[in-house]
This record gives sequence, C-alpha cells and structure tokens, in this order.
Amino acid sequence: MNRGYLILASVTLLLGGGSLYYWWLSVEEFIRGMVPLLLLAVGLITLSIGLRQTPLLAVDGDLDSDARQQRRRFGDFLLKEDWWAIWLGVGLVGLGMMHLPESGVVRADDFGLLQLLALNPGGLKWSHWSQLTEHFLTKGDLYLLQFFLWSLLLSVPCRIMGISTRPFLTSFTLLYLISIAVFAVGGWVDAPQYNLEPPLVALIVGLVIANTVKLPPWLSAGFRVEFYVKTGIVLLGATFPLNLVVTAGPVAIGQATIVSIIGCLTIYFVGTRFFALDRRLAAVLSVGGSVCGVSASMAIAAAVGAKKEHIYTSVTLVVVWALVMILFLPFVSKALDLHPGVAGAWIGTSEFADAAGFAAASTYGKMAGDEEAAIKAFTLMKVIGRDLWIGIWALVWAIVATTVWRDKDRGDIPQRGEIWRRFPKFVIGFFIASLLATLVSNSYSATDFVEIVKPHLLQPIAAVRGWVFIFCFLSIGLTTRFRDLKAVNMQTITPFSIGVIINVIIGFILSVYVFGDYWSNLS
Amino acid sequence: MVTEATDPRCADCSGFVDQPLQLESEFPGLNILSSALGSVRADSGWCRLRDLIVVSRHSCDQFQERGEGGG
Repeated sequence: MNRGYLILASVTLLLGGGSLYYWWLSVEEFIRGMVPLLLLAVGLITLSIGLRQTPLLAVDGDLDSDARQQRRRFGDFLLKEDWWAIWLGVGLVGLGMMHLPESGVVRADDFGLLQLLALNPGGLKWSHWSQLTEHFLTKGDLYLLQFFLWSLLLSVPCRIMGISTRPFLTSFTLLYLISIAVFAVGGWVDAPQYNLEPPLVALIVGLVIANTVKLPPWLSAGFRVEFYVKTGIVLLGATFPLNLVVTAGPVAIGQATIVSIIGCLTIYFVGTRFFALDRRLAAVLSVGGSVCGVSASMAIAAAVGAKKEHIYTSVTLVVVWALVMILFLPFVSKALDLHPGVAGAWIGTSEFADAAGFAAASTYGKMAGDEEAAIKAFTLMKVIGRDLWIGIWALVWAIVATTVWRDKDRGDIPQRGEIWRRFPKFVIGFFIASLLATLVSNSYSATDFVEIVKPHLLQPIAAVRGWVFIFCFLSIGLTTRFRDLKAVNMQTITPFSIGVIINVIIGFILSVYVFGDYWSNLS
Repeated sequence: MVTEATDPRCADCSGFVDQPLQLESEFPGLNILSSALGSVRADSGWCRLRDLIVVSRHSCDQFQERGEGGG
C-alpha cells in the first residue's frame, strides 16, 4: 500500500474516531458531530483507495492467482458474512452495554450510538401527514447521521468481503430510503387495519420494483439478504434470555428433527421412486425443502457431486415456495387465531429459508400484537432446531454418496470436519449476545432492569434489529426477479411440493396440538 | 476420479469458480434467500470443466493450472 495514503488515513481515522467519541456524548451539537464524520469519511475513502490493490480489500474478481492465495490466508473471520454478522451484532450489543448506567437517574436526553441507529418513524402512530413531516423536519439531522453510520457499518465489511464500495453505497442509499418509507407506512395509525405490516410492505414493494423496473445488475451490491438476516439474528440473541434457549432448545430440536427427517426422506423417495429424478438432484432438493433452503442445497452439493443446474432448480423451487408461505402462513394463522408463539413455531417448521421465515413470523407477530413471541418461537425452531445441523446433513449425504451409491467418482469424501466447516457460524454470535445480555440483566435489580436495561439497551437493540430485518425483507423483494429464475418442470415441482406440504401439515400438528401449550407459554 | 489431495488442488485449477460474487453471477438467484459468502458453502465451488460442485481440497485428472486455461 502507498505509504502516503496509510499515513493520511491513520491520522484522519484517529481524529475522526476520537472526535466521534466526544461527540456522541452530546449528540445535539450537530456541527461538532459533522466534523468527525467528515474526517472519518475522508479517512475511509483514502484508506479504500490506498488498500484497493491489497488482497484483503481487492474487489472480488479482480484477483490474480497469487492474490487469491494471499486472500485465503485471511480466513473466514474476515471473508465470510457469518463472522461479520457476529462482529457487527456483538459489537453493537457490547457498545450498548458499555454505556449502560449502573444505577440511579438516567438522563432523559441520554442518546448514544445505539439510539441513533435505532431511530425510525415506525412507532409514531401518525394520523396526518403533518405529523410525519414534522418528525422528519425536527430529526432530519439525526437521520442524516444515521444514514452515514449505517453506510459505514455495512459497507466496510462488504468491501472486505469483496464487494465494491461505490455500487454498494448507491444500492444501500436506495435501500435506506425505501426502508424509511416502509417504517413510515408502518407508523400510520391505521396501518394494522389494512395489514400494512412493515415486513410484508417491504417484501411486496421490493418485489414490485424488481419485477417492473429493470434495475442494473450492479445495483444488487447492497441487497445482501443473508448478511442482514444473520446480523439481525445475532442482535436477536441480546433479547433472548439464555435460560429460554436452554429450556426450550431441546423441544425445538426434537420437533424440528421430526419434520426435517420426514420432509427430507419424502422429497428424496418420492422424487427418485415416482418421478425418476436424478438422485443427486433429489438429494439437493430434499435438504432444500426440509432443512435450510438453498443454503442447505449448496452445503450438500459437493457431498453428492451435484451439477450447476441442480442448484439452479433448487433456487427456483425454494424462492417460489418461500414467497408463497410468507404470504400464506401469517394470514392462515390469523384466520385460525393462533397464539403468536404457536404460529412462530409452525412457521419455523414450515419455512426453509431464515430470511423468508423471519418475514412471515414478524408479519404475524405484528398482526397478533406480540412480535417477540412469534419471533422467539420461530428462532428456536428454525435457527436452533434446524440450521445448526446443516453440517451433519452434509456429512450424512457424503456417507450415503460414497457408501450406498458408491459414487466415488462424484461424491465428496466424508470427513467429520465437514460439520464444523459448514456450521452456520452466525449462530455463535446469537449465543454470545444472549449470554452477554443475560449476564448484564442479572446484574441489575428487577426495578433497575425495567428502568435502565430495558429502555436503554434491549429496546434500542430490538429497534436496530428492526432496521436490519427491513433491509433484509426489502432485499428479498429487490433480488427476486422471476424472469431470472430457471424454468422447472412438474417432475421436480411435484416431489418438492409434496415434501413441503407434508412439512406444513406435520409442523401444524406438532406446533398446535402436540406442543401447543408449550409454544403459547414461551416467555 | 475425484480424490482428496494436497497438490494440485481444485483451488488452484483454472476451471474452479469459488469467488463469491462470481459464483452468485453464475447461479442467478443464489443471493435471493442464500449467499455465496455464507459459512455453510465453506470451500465449495463450481468446476466449470466438469460442471460439478466440488470442494477446493479436491483434485482430478482434468486439472488445469491457472494461466494455462485462462482462468
């Protein structure tokens, strides 16, 4: 790297970081706030220019052979979004904890970085445009700062993961502006009456834009569905008491295992026995429709020696069914008047993609007036019950491919290390956040918990999580261009759909009748 | 035949595609509800020579060193 850039970047970043620290103690002084942010921006741009030729910050695709090898040495800690979700999520929780008063009076104007990131018009309950306009006019400077902060927090990890900064920022600006609009719609006093729940609005607005306007491909740089949902799950950990994970985890794992095994075997055997599907395609679809969507398909693809078109087929089926269920499950749950916890568990056993499931669970939670219950049950069922076991599924399929199929020419060689290699690492961040928040909460008295921890840590974290989930739901819509999906035939649609429908039915029976009391008393 | 090898490995083969954004452009729709940047993909990539999903640790008799085959 050019030494001049490094020196200039170091000086401006130090000045910016130092100034920012003092500024956020008195956020209302906008001018003092802008100086460090401008310094930080200059520092980061300089750093970006200076480092763009180094392997760590090189844009994906621009690397020669040597640079590729050097880049791999940085390891997953810097190159996988799971780890960045942990750094970002746990970092924000830690930041909130550091500035939490031990006891006593908390100033009403106490407004930190977490509160700044959490700010949104979703809770306004406005009934006239003038209230909304007034909100943005009085808080316009804070929204500007918030936009800078979100851009900074998200663009730096993406840059290190190989995504160009300029298209990312352009894309993210669009994402941020639509998110504000979605929150504003959600903050309308009559929004619940028309089912204008922010997750659903975000998804539909994204879908309409993506399928009516021809967006340039580079604009997808900021629509990182998985990065946002993983960061949201880590943040969710902070509002998830550890004892709940410990006590409810085994039930969730038990229920999820039943559904996953039945769904997986159904798709595989119906596909191979009745529809003469290639067994590699059947295997890829079976985990896609029962464990964790396209991520699970990709995880076992090497184990069974799948082809490109197998993954492509899985993408189409998973996306279409996931969208159908986002729109279907919340409204059926509402028609049946299900408890949000029960509906969350049902959605967790039915939806196979985390992002889609959170959209459905969050939508129904808001409809039923208890989003936390729906999201907690969904998380236990999907993240703890199903996602954790992807590596084991990959190992099992590798064993099947090499010992039952005896397809050594194509299948992956089974290795125990595969379980850890394919472990969805962001779940570690969920547990860390849960542990940290539980320890902090336990160190306060019950009164102080209600007066200090809840309003100054847990509620802002939940609102920050709301932001990343809206980024995620919008990104699902904005990346779903139906014309780009592979056309699939009935030979693949039918076994996959049978497996999904069986999952939905068994999930409903288990969530409502077998464990109904359990999920409705989850707290 | 696909084998576990130390050298030469698929990772060094010109036909092996494992850069996340390149993979996402090769598999349209992969980024809708998944991602090539996720941990679960680990070191899997797409072998364009044999049209197979393989892991970077493998090797095969069609190995082409980067530069020879344009990759």
